[in-house]
Amino acid sequence: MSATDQTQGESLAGRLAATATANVRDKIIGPRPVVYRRRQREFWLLGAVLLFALPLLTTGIYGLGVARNAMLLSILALGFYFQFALSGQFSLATGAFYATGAFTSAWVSPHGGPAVGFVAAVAVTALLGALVKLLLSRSPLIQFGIATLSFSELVFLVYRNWTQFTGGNLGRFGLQSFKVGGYSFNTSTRHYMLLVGFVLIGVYLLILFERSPAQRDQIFTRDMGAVAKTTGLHTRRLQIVAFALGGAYMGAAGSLFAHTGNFVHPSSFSTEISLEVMIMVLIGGIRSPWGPVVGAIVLTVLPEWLRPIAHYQDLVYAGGILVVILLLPGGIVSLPTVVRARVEPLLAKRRKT
Amino acid sequence: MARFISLIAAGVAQGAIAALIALGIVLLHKATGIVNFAQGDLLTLGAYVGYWLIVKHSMPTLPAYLVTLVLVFLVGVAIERVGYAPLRKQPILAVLISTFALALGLRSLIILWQGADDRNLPSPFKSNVWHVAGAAVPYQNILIVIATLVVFAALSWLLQRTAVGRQVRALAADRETALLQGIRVERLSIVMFGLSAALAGLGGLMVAPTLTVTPTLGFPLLLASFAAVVLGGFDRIGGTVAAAFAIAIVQQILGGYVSHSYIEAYPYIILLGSLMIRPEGFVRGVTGVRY
Repeated sequence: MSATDQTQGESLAGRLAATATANVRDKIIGPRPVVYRRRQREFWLLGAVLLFALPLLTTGIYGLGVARNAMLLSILALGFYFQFALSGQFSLATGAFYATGAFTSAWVSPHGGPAVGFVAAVAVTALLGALVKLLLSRSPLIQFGIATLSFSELVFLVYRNWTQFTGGNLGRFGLQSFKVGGYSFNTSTRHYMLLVGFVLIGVYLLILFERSPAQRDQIFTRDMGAVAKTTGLHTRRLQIVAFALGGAYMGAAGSLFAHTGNFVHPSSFSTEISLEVMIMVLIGGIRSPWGPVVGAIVLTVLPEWLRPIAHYQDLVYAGGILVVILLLPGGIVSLPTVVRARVEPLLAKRRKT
Repeated sequence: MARFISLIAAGVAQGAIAALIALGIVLLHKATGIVNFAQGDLLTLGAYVGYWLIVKHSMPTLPAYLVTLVLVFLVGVAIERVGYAPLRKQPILAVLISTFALALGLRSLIILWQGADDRNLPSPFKSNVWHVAGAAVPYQNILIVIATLVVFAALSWLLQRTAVGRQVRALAADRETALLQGIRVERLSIVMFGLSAALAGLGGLMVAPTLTVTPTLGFPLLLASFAAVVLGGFDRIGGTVAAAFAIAIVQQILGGYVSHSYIEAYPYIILLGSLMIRPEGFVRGVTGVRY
């Protein structure tokens, strides 16, 4: 037996052993988490170009309105992604944070302009999120979901009755548009561009988060709370922070809603929004910051195309969620990866023969 | 005094409905460890099927009720097959979301079938009332309370005196050990999904005459009964029923004497408060019970 044979044999055995342990490991504690994906910044730039180009596909005020809605829901979905996908907290209070952001911004902006309103909305919703999570931090998963649902119903009820804050049945109207220097974001196209800017900032922050140790702490806390605690992580604090950050995204969306639509009314917000956002994030994908954005765009634009079968819309959604949960856990954005994983072995086989 | 009595009577009836739904939730949670968010829409389905049989096809009340319960039971079984059985090895979160999806699907099927218009299911007692101490109590409310008490008694018997009940209690007490003892969870979870759906359907039949039947009938009722489930500690049927009555009576009295515009808010406040103070519920947990 020559030396080369031996080294080859060793390396083969070593490789086999390595894959065997990896397989066992995968079976016991699941596959090793991806640290972060390659070429995220390039994808971000591509996403930016696509989003800014989206209005070219639409026509007129109506199309821009749909696009605006898609962007607002994207920001909400990014917030939900933070709470649900990164921190594992099942919350149905998205609509309540959205409403709080909108009314706070509408209430503050006459005293200092929309920018001050925006900052106030983000601060208030972040604090509200921290408070909710702090007070409910001992509730198990299901109970927390139920609690956030009742919290959000409570918030809507308060807003319907608290007329000084929300303007009651009249709502608040005549809200100013955002201004940067002398440039006012006061037309539908400019509203859309502003919103795209915020969506891109939101995604970029999440990409940065994904590349930082903070996300690993979050995932550790989400998947193995008790173990994470024994390693010295402040799991409760991490969860509070994640929930508050998610709430801040939703508050930002609320403020943008108020100042790009010029009108807020208590009936603009309901639990339906929370459910819709949850569906968007799930269908879009919970393993990538782009998932929420893709989900929000698809589920806002799809109903416009599906007008003829609008009656079946919810049925389609329900089926879509079940399909995603059962067959495509990574959502729409994971489709290329899944397809590649299926196709590549076939191609490799063909190349060999 | 008359006002007080009518408030109490309204509270008791409302509590009975919440208790019916809550019993279904607790039963399912004991057996499977999950919560079915489609419960509210199963209740709506029960109300619509009752309306369809009794008003549209003028079926006599009792057979119509029985047919409705059987139908809703079968829908519950279907939900188990589609939304729970394939996901048993996945995290609870996946199951919760699939029940949300099924709730959405069920609601849209109801709308496709019956439209979104309001319907009225008449009470078997018409609108007759029982006059007591100056207050008028509809006979329907008395029927609701009796139905709830009968169901509670039957469930207690089922859980405490039968083999199925012993298995469910074992699963609730220690899921893994129970599985090691060879309890057939697959069969059990089908039956329990069906039973808890039938309870929701019964709730729908009972509550429909006192309200208007709409596609969103069930959801607020489900939320109110969650408060009872949480307060009762999620696994205790006695505690849950007591909590349901207590919450509804407190809600009616606060609504009558403090502020009526926040009447819907009181159960939520009670729920949030109790989760802050004692997330494990106010009734002693199942640990330490002998089997």
